[in-house]
Amino acid sequence: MKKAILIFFFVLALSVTAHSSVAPDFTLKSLDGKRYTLSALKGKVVILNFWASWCGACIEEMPSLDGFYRQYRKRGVEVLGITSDRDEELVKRFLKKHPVSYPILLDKRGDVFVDKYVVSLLPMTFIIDREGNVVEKLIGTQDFQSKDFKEKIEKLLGGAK
Amino acid sequence: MKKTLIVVSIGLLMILSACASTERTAFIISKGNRAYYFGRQEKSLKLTLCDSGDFRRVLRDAQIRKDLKKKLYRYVCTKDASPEKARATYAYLTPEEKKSLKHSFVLHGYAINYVPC
Repeated sequence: MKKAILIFFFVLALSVTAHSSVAPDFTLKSLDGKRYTLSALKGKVVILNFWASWCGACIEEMPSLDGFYRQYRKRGVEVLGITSDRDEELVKRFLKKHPVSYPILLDKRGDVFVDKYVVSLLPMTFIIDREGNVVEKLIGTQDFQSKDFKEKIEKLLGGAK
Repeated sequence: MKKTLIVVSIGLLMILSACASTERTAFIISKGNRAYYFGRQEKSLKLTLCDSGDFRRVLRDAQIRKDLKKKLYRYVCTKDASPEKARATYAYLTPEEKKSLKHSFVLHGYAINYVPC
């Protein structure tokens, strides 16, 4: 019985944390009209942050993600915020209240959210290495300014300053 | 025994803390003394929801974009059924669409988040 419980939590921990697989490619338009293709960002560490304007837990983590982006953008890290909101004007109004400096992409058909990244909880964040592999999926509000998170990114950057 | 309790407590705390910082995307539908998590793959759920035609009627009367209705039906009732993708489609809906889907379930005789004894 004890063994079964231990195995259950071990499997649960594994399913919630790390798994390495090729990140599904996509092309999405940002709010300022620029097109972003994930595969074109190979060579950079990419943080994909899935969010929605109605999601309180997503709003909570935005300032720390923005602070992280400002600190790491020149070191080969790209942050892409992908929103499930389909109303462009609503997103623009929202970002006036909660400004961020990283690109915000619109997934108006939901193909990236649902079919490619299967985002069943919000917020959800994927860490993608320089080779284009998903190295970690983070569920729920994160502190992107934490020592733990920055250490993970430093490791993926390979110590490049 | 003590060790087991500690392991279980830590596990439960992990689950609870993960739940606390996310938006809820799961809900329970019930009909005829049976309750199911929406999207879960169970034979009896398929019978109740899909084979009866109920889910088609629920979707028909819900104010949800057409292509998303198709995704919901595909990931709940067809050979492509996937609990994760069904939940992801639900998570992608706007709050108004989510409300409308639940309302439509109620209109068609389902109870929401009620587990019959």
